[in-house]
Amino acid sequence: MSALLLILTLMLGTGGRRGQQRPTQTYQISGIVVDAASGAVVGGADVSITIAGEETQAPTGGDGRFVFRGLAPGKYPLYASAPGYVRQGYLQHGAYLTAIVVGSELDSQHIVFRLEPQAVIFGLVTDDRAEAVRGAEVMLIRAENGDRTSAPSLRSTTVTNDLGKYRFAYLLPGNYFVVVNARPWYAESRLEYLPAPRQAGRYGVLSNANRKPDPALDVVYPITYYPGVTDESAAEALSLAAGEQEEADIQLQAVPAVHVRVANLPADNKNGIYFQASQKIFGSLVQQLQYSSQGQVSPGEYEIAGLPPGRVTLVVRAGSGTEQSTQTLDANLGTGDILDAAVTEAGAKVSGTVIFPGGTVPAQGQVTLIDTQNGNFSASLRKDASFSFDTIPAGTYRVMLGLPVSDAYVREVSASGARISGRRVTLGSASDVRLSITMARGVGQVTGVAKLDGKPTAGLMVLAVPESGMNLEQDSRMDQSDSDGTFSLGNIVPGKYILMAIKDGWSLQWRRPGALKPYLAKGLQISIAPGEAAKVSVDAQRPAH
Amino acid sequence: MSRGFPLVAILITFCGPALCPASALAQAAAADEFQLRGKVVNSATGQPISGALVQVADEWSQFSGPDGGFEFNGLPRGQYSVAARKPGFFNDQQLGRWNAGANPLLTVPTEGDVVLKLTPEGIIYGELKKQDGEPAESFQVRALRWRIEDGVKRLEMAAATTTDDRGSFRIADLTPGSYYLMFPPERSGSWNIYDALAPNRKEVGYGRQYYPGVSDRASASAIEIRPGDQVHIAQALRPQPLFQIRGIVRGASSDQGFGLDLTNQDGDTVQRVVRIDKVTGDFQIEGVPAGTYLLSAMALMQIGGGGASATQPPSAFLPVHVQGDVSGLVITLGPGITVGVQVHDETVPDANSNSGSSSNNVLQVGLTMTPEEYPRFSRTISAASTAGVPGAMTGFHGLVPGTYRVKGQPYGAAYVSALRCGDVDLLRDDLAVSPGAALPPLEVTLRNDGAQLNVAVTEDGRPMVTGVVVYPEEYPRQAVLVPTNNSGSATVWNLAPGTYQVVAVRDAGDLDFRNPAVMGAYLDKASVVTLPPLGKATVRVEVQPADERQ
Repeated sequence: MSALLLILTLMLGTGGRRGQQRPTQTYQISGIVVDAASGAVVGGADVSITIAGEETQAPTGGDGRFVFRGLAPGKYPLYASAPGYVRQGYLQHGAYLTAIVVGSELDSQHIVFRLEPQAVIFGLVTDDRAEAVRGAEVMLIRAENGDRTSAPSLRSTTVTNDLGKYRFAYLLPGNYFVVVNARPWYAESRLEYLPAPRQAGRYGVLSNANRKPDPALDVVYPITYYPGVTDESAAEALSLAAGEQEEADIQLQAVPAVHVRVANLPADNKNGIYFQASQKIFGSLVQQLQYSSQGQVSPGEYEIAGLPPGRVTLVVRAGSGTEQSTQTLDANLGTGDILDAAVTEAGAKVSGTVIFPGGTVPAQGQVTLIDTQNGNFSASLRKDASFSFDTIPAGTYRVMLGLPVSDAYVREVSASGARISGRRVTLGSASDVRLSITMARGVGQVTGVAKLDGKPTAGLMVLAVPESGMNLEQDSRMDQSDSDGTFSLGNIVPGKYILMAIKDGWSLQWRRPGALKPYLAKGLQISIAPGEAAKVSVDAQRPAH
Repeated sequence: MSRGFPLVAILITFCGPALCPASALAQAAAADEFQLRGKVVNSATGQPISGALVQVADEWSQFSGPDGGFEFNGLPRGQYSVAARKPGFFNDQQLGRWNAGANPLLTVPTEGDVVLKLTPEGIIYGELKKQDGEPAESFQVRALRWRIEDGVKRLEMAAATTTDDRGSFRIADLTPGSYYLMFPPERSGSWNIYDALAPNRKEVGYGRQYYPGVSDRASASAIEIRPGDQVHIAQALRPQPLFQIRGIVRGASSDQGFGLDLTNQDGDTVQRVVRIDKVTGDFQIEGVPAGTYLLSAMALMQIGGGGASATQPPSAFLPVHVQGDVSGLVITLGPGITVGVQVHDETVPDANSNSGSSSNNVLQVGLTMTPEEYPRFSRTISAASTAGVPGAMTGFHGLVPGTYRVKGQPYGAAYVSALRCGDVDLLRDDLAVSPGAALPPLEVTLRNDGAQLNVAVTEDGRPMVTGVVVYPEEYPRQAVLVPTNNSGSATVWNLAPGTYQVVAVRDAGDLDFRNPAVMGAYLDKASVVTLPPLGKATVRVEVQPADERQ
């Protein structure tokens, strides 16, 4: 069962089902909570099930045993938590868990809930004087497999306390990076390239040198990775086993702040010009930077002071309302650099139309182009189903359409001036790109039973991937089999799929090319028509070695 | 950051703290350069502080050495502001409110070394446990202290944090003073809404508590923080029975239903589960500890329904006192309590020579209504005279029942000469607003024949930087507190004609200056001044020490 489904049921509530008469035959869910690492009984855990969207708790005694009585036949997600353990669902893997199904001839009374003891990463952030850095932002980034080829995801952020200490608790085993973003408390980056008044001051004796930025204060901390490196390729992941506590101290090193000028901006700007600086962590996580100051050096030329060295993205906003223009400058910065706002990276002017079934255009909609490197670009749908974007940098983007109806999907994308592969568009050197997006309605559904050696089995990974291999990321659907082996895959774009059930498949990096190859041949070929709800039985495969 | 900032900074450095006489600077040569030497020390221990940033005239910077020492060379003769700072310490500017922006000016050359004192922060740290001895994880901890905001003394949040997985917490950066530790209701602010009622059940949980484990503020112990104090607090929370509130809401559509919110006087949401039957209007709120709350109900409306008027959805407020399960509440949604506002503009064009400006714009007045019981439901509107505009009247809508303090502040050169609601004189008294009451409109009269008062404050005959209270004995609520400038003087414009007592008090920032009981101690030594319309007067007062009994 997927966690998303749970949220949905929670939101829908019970719809008055409590008022209906109770079935005569009731069932129970019972079992024991044990430590996943040692196997020892965990006493005093809080165990809960969700009944029609509402959580009901059953505290365990010292023997770790729990029981829920008087249950009507149905599926019940089961959770447990205890001090020193991570709160988790039964057999939880990421967003998926195995719900307990009760009914005649189903065993729901011998559950062994293996609770993962929490891992903890804690540490101390110090500056170059070995003094505590308070208020530093510390990020914990989950690295899927200890390498940087899979997308890292931000797990948590915190702030150091007055002792410079931070702590991340409730962690599951895995590989983690620790990243610190902070500003020296004494940092003061004054503008360096200020115009005339400074040089032509009446009090020439207060030497100009004193008005220049003080090098001791004109400093920044670059984004720093454990174990104290500023080059992200030298970052070390901390590998944590269940229940492990790892200390990760990080020393920050102040470096001279970068002063850049941006030239060829609009000279007369009543509404001001705004800059937003950001850096990317591991190529995808955008971190906003707090630079010290900005100011106009001369008409059309601005200085931005207090930036870290390295690759920085500067977003420049000028004007207001409909006249507003936004420009993105991406550069490897060094002090004294002048960025030319007139010269921008070649990009495409993207516009197009959406074709809806029956020609009815929804009241609102949004076209979004998604790329992990360049970020997301969105444009609102007009009444005539047309849309247009500002300039979008070259790259390959997924085409998505956000609509108020839930069963619509993108059937086809075509373009002039760009390459299309499935629902991806590759923008190149062409300056004008026209997209045509054809929508259809009627997403499908697949439910069924996953079996291992002929027996319905809990906790199997169930995965449907497009037979063509196209749109793998977007169109694949996943679930975990519940205690009676059942699963449900929803929101399926009509088409041909290969359905697989894999035992212990959770560590499989199935998005990688070739990773699924050993399993595809034994998968089940299914074809989903618009609006179809298919019921299947799938035999599970054991992991290939 | 605005574009104006660098320019402002330059102005300050040229003309501000470095009040260098141009002639002295012009002559300044190598022979006329001086040294500024000194030391940064901990005001509590006298120990040197190393690594503090010392800044002279916002221009020259240095870190103090291992012995706390600093040494600036080559300074021209003149007056300079000198300040030190370091995390974990407060300088005078960061501590005090009444000399903010006015660092003491040092005359260079100095006589001997300069000592810059920094006050070390206070820290409250500790562990929070549940009744069973297990750590209370992810609980909020707040440090509260008394603050005077706009003349009203209230317990306000000074800092807040959340316990970690071990139940540990740490609150640093505390200025010296007296603090209460408060633990808000468990899981406050997160609750679930279900579409069906459920049978009653007995629950226990953790409602709002204060250190040392009491549920009311009056029995709470204050934690005294002196400079540099680090106070350890180990607190076991006491579980309390949780109750239910049941009732029925009338006046919401059975399609859209209604929303409910139960807040305590701190503004925290205390409910854990809300059950609603949209069709019958029955509701059930679970997980409520004993206490006094405000239950607010509001009809839910379709978003973007295309209605021509932007009307407020029907709503209702009900104070609820919970000591056990509560049932049978009937809440009728409606337009709520409304008070109209009428502005009488009695200003005369160009009458006010004590305002410095005149304008042809319609004079607006900001009106604020604050219920004493639930200050977070304070409302502010702005209103203007609508004389000659038939049927036009602004007002307050959807008021919470309670005892209100009403305040009027003209946006311009004028004063409020009268503020009434029926027979109640709101310049002096509270306004009681009860559910279902039909109140006459608030009548605000604005005039611009106010007086100007200049106050010069001295201490032993020398100008003094502090706060001045201008106190009309008949109308204590209209008292004002103004800071004096560097030369010890302050000016108040647009004062209502009348008799005022003028008092200068040391550390006036902590003074409950609209409270007659507090001000009584100072008024004996006050200077009394009577101001006629358009009058101008100057009074001299000697600063009084803060009353030790406060």
